[in-house]
Order: sequence, then structure tokens, then C-alpha cells
Amino acid sequence: MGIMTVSFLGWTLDNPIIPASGTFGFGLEYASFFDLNQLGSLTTKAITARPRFGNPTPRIAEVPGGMLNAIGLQNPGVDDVIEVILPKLAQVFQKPIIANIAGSVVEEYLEVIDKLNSEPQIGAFEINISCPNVQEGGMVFGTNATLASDLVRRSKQHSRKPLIVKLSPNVTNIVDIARAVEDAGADALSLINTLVGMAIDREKARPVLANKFGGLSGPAIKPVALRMVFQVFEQVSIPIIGMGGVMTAEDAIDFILAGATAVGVGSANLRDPFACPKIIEALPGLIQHLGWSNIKSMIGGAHEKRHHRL
Amino acid sequence: MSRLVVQSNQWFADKVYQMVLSGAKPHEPGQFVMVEISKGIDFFLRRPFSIADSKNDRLTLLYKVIGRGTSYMTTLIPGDTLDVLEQLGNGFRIDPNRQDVCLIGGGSGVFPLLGLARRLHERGIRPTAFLGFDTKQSACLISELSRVCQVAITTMDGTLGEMGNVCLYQAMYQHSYYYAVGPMAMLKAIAQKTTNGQMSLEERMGCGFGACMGCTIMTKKGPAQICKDGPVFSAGDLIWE
Repeated sequence: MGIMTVSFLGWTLDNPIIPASGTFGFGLEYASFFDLNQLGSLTTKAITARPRFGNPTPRIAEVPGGMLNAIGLQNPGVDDVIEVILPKLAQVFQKPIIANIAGSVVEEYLEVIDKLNSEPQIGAFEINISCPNVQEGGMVFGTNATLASDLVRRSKQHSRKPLIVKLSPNVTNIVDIARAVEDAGADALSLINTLVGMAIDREKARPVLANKFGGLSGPAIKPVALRMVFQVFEQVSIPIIGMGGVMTAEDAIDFILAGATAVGVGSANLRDPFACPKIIEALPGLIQHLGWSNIKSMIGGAHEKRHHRL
Repeated sequence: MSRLVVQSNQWFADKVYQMVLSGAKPHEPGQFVMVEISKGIDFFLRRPFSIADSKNDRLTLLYKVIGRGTSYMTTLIPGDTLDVLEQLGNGFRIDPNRQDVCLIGGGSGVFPLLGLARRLHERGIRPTAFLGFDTKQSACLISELSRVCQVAITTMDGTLGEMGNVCLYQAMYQHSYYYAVGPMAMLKAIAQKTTNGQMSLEERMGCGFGACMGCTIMTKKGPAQICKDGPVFSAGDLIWE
């Protein structure tokens, strides 16, 4: 076991760095920048049952310390993903991937799961119950413990792969949702998705985004994300992919210490397509510099209970 | 991704600066770059810029100063380095057999036409350029373009050339093919007359290389990313509301 390896959902990840859904397409654009096999895994853009065009433009706005997006789950639909995209991805990435799944209604999630079950490249499903940029589905499920729990239970019945549930930070108490989906059978959690926000174009006196509101990501949300990972870690026993504003190896380590087993890198990829390989390269030196023997031993290291245990 | 060195960064016209960068890869006319304007997280996203010209390892950018980011860019001085994603987008397609072409530029849409005009000139094609500006003070590239093109100018206030909008210039529709860059309203007006040409589009971008889906438009061939499938499209493939 190397200094960076972690166990996650029964697989061994070479390192805990996983590009987050929606910021990495289906990996293909990034394959022209670096060898994707350096990554621990990768998360696909959200896949829905049928093709989705998404929202009108502008879909992107820069804000201090990050960005807003309101893409609206644009994707070619599950059939095209299976027929066209996954074979292309198989040529450039040989590790198990995480397929992010979204839908307007429960049945749509189940349809996508049923179709993707037999794809050997997919190591796990990430159920997206937290997209803030669609009218139906998405965050509607993630902000209601009963709906979330029902969706996860039914997804679990259909899924032949481990189920990760991606949580929304736009809730009163994320621990309640985390516990509900754990009880419903989730194998792991991803947190956090984006925080709902907006930007105003004061010259034109109207919202910058055509969708009015969008999801805030980037360094601005890291303290919120860390706090939520820290809280959830203490209350659930399933592993966590922590994410929110990770730009550097230092950021990644903060999430590990807060309780994450793996770390998602999101909008950093858009600013710098080499963000993930740079983080991976810097991690071993940082782990040693901080006086730890390996990253696995650092998981949850910032919790008092852990300190007593050590 | 490359570290490019600022060779010069000067006022060029009203609200327009010219920046020359060295250490660049060769670019086709119509391609663009994404510039990380500062290392900090204050300007989180890169900025997309069209390329006025690319020669040897020199890249000439003209940029309009419109927001915090471009205002900050004006403070960069020779010797500063910038992290730049290069050779993005498809660029204009040039058919050497097509001689009777015109260039249509509105506002900052004029910038990428310089490199295109020079490339056409190298191929023995001398196009006519129809350029539209708000006013005389914002007009630029006229002398540079005049060396390789016939140039016709309009300004909205009539302070230079003919008064009015560039797409009202009927002469340009007598050419059999066009390359058009400018505001959407201008492109739409041209496309309604004829779709025999290529148009370069602009949109707010997240990444510039096709990953974030921030700049998607619907075309007659399905959804397209302006950054990756464009920015240059055949006018006939575009859909106008």
C-alpha cells in the first residue's frame, strides 16, 4: 500500500483524488492534457434517461473566489453515453469510474441505473439529488429526507453497483439527510454540491445568468463544505467523498482530516485543466511534511475522538 | 498550457488595449486563447480572447476593457508572464479557390479579422472589409487592414465613414462569401440576408475546452460548444430565434 492509497467501496484507489461531476465532462477533453490514469477515479457528468440540452446562456458567471453555473444537466442521454462515450473513455482511462445519475422523477433514475448496470467500466453510481439548476428532480430530492430516502431505497433495489449519494448543502441540517440516505442503503456520500446563489448585471439591471440562479462553487465554499463533511463524518459510518473549492493538495488534506476518504476536485479543473495531476503530485510531500505516514491514517484526523484514539 | 511573456501592453483605441505576448504556439485565424490574468483566486476563471494576429512566437491580442478583469490586465507590464491555454477552437476555414470574399466586423469583432485578412492576403485573396464601430474614437485596425483589404467603415454616430449600422451596407451582400464577427444582433441581421459565410460567436465561458458545457448553443446539427465546436460556425448551421 502506497502513501496515497485509500480503500473505498471495496476498491483500492491509487490516490484519493477524483474529479467531481460536471467539471470533467466524460474525461475526454482532459485526456488531451494529461494521462487520466493518474487519477484515483473520475466522476462523469450527470447522465439522464434522455438527451438534455440544459439551460439557455449565459450559464456561467465569475464571482469573487469562485463561479456560478446553471448548466442544467446538459448531457447526450444514457443510450449515447453507452454507445459512444464509454467506449471512447475506455481507450484513455482504465480504472473504474463513477457514473453520476440524475432524473426528474424516480423512474428516470431507475431507468438510467438499469441501463448502466451492465457497463463494466462503471465502479459505482453517484445519485445526484442535489442539482440546483433544474426545475424538477435534482435538489428537490436532496432537500427532503423522505423523498431522498425513498429514491435511494428504490435505486438500491435496482443497482448492481455501490451507490454513492451526492448531497445538497442547501438544507437546514445536512446530517438529517445524510443519516436518512445511509439508513436507506447508501454505500457512500459525496458532499457538497453547489450552494444556490446569483449575480446581478448592474449595467443591465438584471440577473447575469439566464436561469437567474446558479450553483456557487470554488474556494468561496470550502469552509462550508469542510464544516459539513466534518459534521456528517461524526454521524454516519459510510465513507465520504469530500468536495467544495479544492484547488491545492493542502485543500485536499483538509477534507481528509475533516473525515473524507476521497476528495472531489471540481471547478479547479475548469480554471486549470492540470489541477488534479498537480494536486496528486504535491500530496506525498505534503503528507510527509505534516508528519503522517500515509493518507489513510489521516482520515478524520481533525476530530477530537480521533485524537483520543491516537 | 504555456507561460507567455508580455512584450507590450498599450492603449490602442478607446477602451481597447493591445497586448503582444511571446513564447506562443502558432494559431489559425479565428482560434482563441484562455488567459489566467492573475495567480490568485480573485479572478477565478480564465478570460477568453480572440487573436488579432499570430506570427512566429508572437501573439497579438486586442482586448476591450469592460470589467474588473480586463481593467486589471491593463496594469500588466513587459516582462510579466501569463499562464495561457492556447490553440483553442476551430478557426476560420479558408478555401483558396474562393476569391470573392468579404470580412464583416462589428466593434471588438473587428479584432480577429486582421489575422484572417493577412492569411487571405498570403493566399492571394484581397477581401473587402466592412467595419462597424460606435464612434471614431473606438475605431481601430483601419490602417493595418487597409494594407491587405479594401476597407469600408460605418459608425453609429457618423463621426467616421458612413453613419449607421454595418449590416445596412448593401455592398457586402454583393460578395459571394463572408466571414463575420460581432454582436449577435449584427450576425442575425446578416444571416437573415444570406447564410453564405462563416460566423464567429462569443459567449461567457467557464473552461474554453469543452468540459463545462457553459457555452452551448443549439445548431441545426444539434447542441454545440462554442469553445470547442466553434467559435466559427457555418452561418447556415446556426439557429436564430
